[in-house]
Amino acid sequence: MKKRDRLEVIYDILKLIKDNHNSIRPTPLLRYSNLSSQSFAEYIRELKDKGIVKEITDRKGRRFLTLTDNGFRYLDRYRMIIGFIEDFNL
Amino acid sequence: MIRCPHCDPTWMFAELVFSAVVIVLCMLIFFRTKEMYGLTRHKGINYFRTTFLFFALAFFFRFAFHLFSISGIVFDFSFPRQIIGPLPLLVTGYFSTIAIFYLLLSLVWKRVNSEQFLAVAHVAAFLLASVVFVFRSAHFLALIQVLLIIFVLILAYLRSRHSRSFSGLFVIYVLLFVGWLANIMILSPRFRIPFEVMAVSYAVSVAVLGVIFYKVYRWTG
Repeated sequence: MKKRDRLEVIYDILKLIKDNHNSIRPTPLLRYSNLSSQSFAEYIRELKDKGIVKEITDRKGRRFLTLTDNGFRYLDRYRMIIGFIEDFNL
Repeated sequence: MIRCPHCDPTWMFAELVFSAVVIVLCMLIFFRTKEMYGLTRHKGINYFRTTFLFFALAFFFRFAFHLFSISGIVFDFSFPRQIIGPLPLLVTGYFSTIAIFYLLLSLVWKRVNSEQFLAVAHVAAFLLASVVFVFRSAHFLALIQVLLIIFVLILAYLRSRHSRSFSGLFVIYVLLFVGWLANIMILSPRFRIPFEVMAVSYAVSVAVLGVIFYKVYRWTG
């Protein structure tokens, strides 16, 4: 099975969040994303640092991950970004 | 017809228009890829777009060289040529060499340590530019850059020979560098290129950058 590259993993994580009404708890997201817990934590930290996802807490104190405007933009532009990278062999 | 490039108004006007178009195209490529890089922080995209920022700077200082050369004719004062004359050669040499290194890195960044590569590249570009500055030899700059460019082209060929975009990208890079080398040669005070030949090289450079911009625009539009 082909190893997913970094941009593809990010796309999959963002797509999972979006498909769950833009709000998902970290534990099921980890399970669906097929990543090790360490890799998952690194990706989520990176995405939060870049302002692509943000963490929100509900009234019961439960943490959820949700997409920011940049996150939606990433999903919109993903095909273009991949096309660009392939076109210029970057 | 061979003319003195710094005394001929037609040549200077062509230089001005050409430099402006090239700088605008390079900066458009740089800014059009800003959002893509902001979203992904993809190193390849970063090195690719920075290549064009440095090319824009190289062309800017290349044009500055011509302005310094005619400062005595156009303005009431003239810059001391012994000092100011070779200075744009130093800066153009540095920025154009580092641009080639960045383009090379955009192709090989997954296989090398980027930080080390860039540290070596900046030092190498500075040393090369210093040698060019001391000896005032655009020919030496062109010679070293030809070797670098051949290396980039071999890598571009090896990287893209199996991909769909192979033929297009390879031809684009070849033409880009052929155009650039012709542009360096004009920096040498002793070098005279027929206006018609330079005009063709300008047209090729603008056309190639136009194609690259179009490809960028297609993916970022």
